[in-house]
This record gives sequence, structure tokens and C-alpha cells, in this order.
Amino acid sequence: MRKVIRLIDQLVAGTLMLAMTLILLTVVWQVISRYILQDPASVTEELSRFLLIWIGLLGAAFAYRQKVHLGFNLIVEKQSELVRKYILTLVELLVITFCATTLLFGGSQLVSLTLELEQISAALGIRMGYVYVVLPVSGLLLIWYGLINIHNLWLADEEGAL
Amino acid sequence: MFKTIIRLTSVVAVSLALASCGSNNDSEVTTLRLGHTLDTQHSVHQAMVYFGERLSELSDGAMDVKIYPSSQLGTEREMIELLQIGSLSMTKVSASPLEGFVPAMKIFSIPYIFRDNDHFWKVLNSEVGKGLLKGVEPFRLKGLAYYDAGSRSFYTNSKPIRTPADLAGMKIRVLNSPTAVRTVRELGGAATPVAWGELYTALQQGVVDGAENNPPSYYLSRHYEIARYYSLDEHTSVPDVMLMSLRVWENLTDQQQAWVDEAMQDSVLFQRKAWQASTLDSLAKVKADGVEVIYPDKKPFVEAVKPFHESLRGTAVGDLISQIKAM
Repeated sequence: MRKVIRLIDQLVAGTLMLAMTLILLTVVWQVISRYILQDPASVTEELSRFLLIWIGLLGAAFAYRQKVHLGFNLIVEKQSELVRKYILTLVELLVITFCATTLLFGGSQLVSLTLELEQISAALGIRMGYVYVVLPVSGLLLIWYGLINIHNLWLADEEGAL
Repeated sequence: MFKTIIRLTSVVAVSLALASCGSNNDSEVTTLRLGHTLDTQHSVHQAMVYFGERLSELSDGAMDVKIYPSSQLGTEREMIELLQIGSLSMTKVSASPLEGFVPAMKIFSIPYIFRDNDHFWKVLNSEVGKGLLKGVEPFRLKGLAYYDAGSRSFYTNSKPIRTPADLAGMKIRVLNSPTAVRTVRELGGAATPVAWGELYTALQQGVVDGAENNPPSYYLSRHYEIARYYSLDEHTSVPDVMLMSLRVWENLTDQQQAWVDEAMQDSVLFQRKAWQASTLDSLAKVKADGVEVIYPDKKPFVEAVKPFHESLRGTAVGDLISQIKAM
């Protein structure tokens, strides 16, 4: 189990690093081709936009895992240990519900609709469905991390946290 | 404190719930929600308002239209998606963004396939034009009508464009589509895709030397304040397309569909007149501001894109071009 979790963590981090590198190169190339070569590339703007979508959504899952996302914990911190656990579990369940309905279910529907009707992006000419795939993917990851967080709250001590 | 908050929240929740019930119960009226990306000053918006008025009249108040202008509901591409999903009833899009959904719509982005405005309307009202409109149905859309969006021409800030040779080395902003990029390349310019909203600054800072659009957009976007030369070479005529969600369309009764069709035909006539008035008005206004409006000889431009037309021979779009030219 631990191995699987670590593998997924590394996969997410690896994809994010790759996407960050690519977006940097794309934007640099856009500047070079526009101002130095005087022959502006037409795909860079769209490619960087799609990469940003991927970075945003996968980054959300990654930040959630690392617990570096924004959160308002003033009230939660003031509660006793047990109440805090209940509140945090409720929070995780809300997050999971949102991810399952909006990102996973809604996202999958959008992906299947755009793939079925073959919507094509304007500059790259790729199917928009491939861009939207990140919605259900990040939904799945967030649900996965939410479940791990609940597990860590109730079933694991400091050392046994997954 | 805590109890007050809970009480307040429940009051709000209950009243919201009641409000939503209310609007559901007394809605004998079928409301079509229509989103578009233009300003309310625009002739297209006025034609839509007219469409709504005609529709209420014809249906004796049983149907009406609620318009969401100025990109409130998203870009043209996003609204087409909303139509496919069925969340939005109607939208107006340029034929260009429709290319990504319906490949045959590429035809309108190809330069100089129409001889003049009469030829353009003859084609749109012919079997070819109707066929293209019908061709959106497999993509869960219903094509209702074409609106006039004039012809696109170049405007530049450094030097005027009188022949295709003047375009050499100039960076021209284009729509983000392969066909638009290719058109400018064939004419000799360097195509640069820039978002419409960023174009004013891009012209100002010299990111691009010029752009291309129809007279009302050139005037309403205030790009004429920077790009002082407008060459009416009229290279492409991209119509606007009024679309309805196929799902919404099929849920209407036959009678309701007939009302929509009739109101739409009336609004098309209204819009064509309004568009022509607004084109003349825009040109007069930019001239009054000191913009040099140039009427170049179109022949060299038509010659320059011939290889482009030739290269499409044998494709589906190429066949359409020969049909259009034969008309």
C-alpha cells in the first residue's frame, strides 16, 4: 500500500515538473520567435494555456497531499482533539463529495462529450477532450488523498501516517 | 452569536428555496436564454432584442428571450460547449470558432471565395449555405440563420497597405486558427495570434504592426486611435451564425419551432439593414477622426491567394469552393 501511494505521489510530482519545464520553454520560445526571429509561433499561446490548466488542477491535488493549500483553521484549532477530528473528517467528506460530483462525474461527461463530438483546438489541432482529461484525473487524485487523510486521522498514529 | 448565524442562514436558505419554487410554478412562458460576446451597442445585439420582441408577439407572450451580452457566459467557444451540453439555449458565434466543432465551417475563413456582397448572400441562401447550416446538427447544434458580419480588411499603424507587397514583413494579428494564419502568410505578412482583448495594447506597444477586422469592430474597439490606415481589401467574409442547442430545439413543439423560425427570419432582415448602417457610420466616424481609408485594387490580392485555393483542390473544402465559385 505504501508503495502504491508513493508511486502515485511521484507520478503527480513528476508530471508537474515536466509541465512546469514545458511551460517555461514554451513561453521563452514565444518571446524569442516574436521579437528575435520576427516570425511568431502560432501554437505557443494555446500550448501554454493548456499546460497552465494541467498545472493548476494537478497542482491542486499535489498541494492537498502536501497540506500546503489554503485553509481557514482558526476555529478548528481551538477545539478539543476529538471535536477537531470530527470536523476535519466532515471537511474531507465535503471535499470528496465535490470532487466526485463536479470533477470526476462532470469532468468525465465533458471529456466524453468533447471526444464524441470531436471538438478540435484552434491552433494545435488536438482534441479538446485530451485537455479536459485532467478534470477527472485530478478529481480521482483528490478523492484518493481525501481518503488517505481520513485514514490518517482515525487509524494511524504519528509514525503510521500514509 | 452562533445561534443567530444559524437562524439567519436558515432564513436565507428557506427564502431561496421558496423563490426558486415560485419561478418554476408560474412559468407557463418558455424562456430561451441567449448568450453572446458583443456590446449592447452592437447591431447584432439590437437584432437579437428585435428577435425577442418578435417572438413574444408571434407567440402572444408564450415565449420570450433573455439575452446575456458582453461575454457574461463565456467566450464563443465556451458557449458552443454550453449549447452542446444543453445548459444554454442560444448563442451567436462567428463561423471561425465554429471550425473547431464543425470542420466544414473552415470555408468562410478562406480568402476571396466570394466575388462581392451579392454573391456572398446568394451562396448563404443557396443549398450550399443551407447545407452548411444543417451540417451542425450531428454536433448537437441547430443552425438557425446567418447574420451579416461584413468583410474583414487590414488596418495598420506604420504604413498603408495598397498591394500584397506592402504586407511583407509586417506582423499582423490574426484569429487563432490555422486557416487565418495561412491566409496572412499567403499574402506575405507574418501572422501573430493575439487575443482580441489584448490587441489594443499589442498595437500600441508594437507587438503587432496591424490587424484585420470589419469596420464596426475596428471602430467600436477604438483600434483606429492607434492603427491609422484602413485598407478595405475585404479578404474574408465570415458570417455570424445563430445557433440553438439541438436538445432545446427538439424540446420545443412544432408551433414553437415555427415561431422561432419566423422571428429569426425577421431579425435577419433587421440585422442586415442595421449592419450596413453601422458599417457606413463606422467608416464615416473613423474618417472624421483623420484615419486614412484606402480602397486598394483587389486583383493582386486575389492573385496572391490563388496557390492557397489550388492546394485545397480534392479536399471537401476544395469541392465547396468550386461549387461556390460556379454560382
